[in-house]
Amino acid sequence: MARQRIERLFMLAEKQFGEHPERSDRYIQLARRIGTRNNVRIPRELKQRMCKHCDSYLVPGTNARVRLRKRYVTVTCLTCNKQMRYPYP
Amino acid sequence: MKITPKNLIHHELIGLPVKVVESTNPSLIGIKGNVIDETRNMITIEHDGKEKRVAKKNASFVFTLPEAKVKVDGELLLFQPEDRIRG
Repeated sequence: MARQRIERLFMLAEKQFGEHPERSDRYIQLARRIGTRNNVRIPRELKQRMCKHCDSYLVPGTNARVRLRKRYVTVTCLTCNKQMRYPYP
Repeated sequence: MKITPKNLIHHELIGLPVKVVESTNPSLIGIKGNVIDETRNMITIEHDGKEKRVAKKNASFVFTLPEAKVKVDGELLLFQPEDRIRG
């Protein structure tokens, strides 16, 4: 159930991003809270679409910068200017 | 598994079409639209392009699911959204 709600909130965040980006961020915040409260992880592919630091919904090219480095990818959140990194082979 | 009348009160309310059918505040009755936010005590509904905040307490809501309409007493929803998952 928690997993479904997280997925649904990310879907809604995507839908609202064009007109109401502040709602997207709220939905991410709620999704993360559901995850923490119920001990459910946010799936990897969704984790890469949010900012760990400020709970923004990230759309590469709009409010996120994605760059390939030597052995990892960096995603810069253009709202709080912090970076997240994840490896690739 | 999708949203059914049985698991509605544990599922995500945001995004569902809803109508306020009962409330002790008569000016809130009849508000309808999609749920856009939820807090412990309030539900925010988009009604005619405006955001209306309705208290869950002392109100009943009719949620429209793809296959059914469900009437829910607001008292059952009086939790933080992340605590509403099981009981």
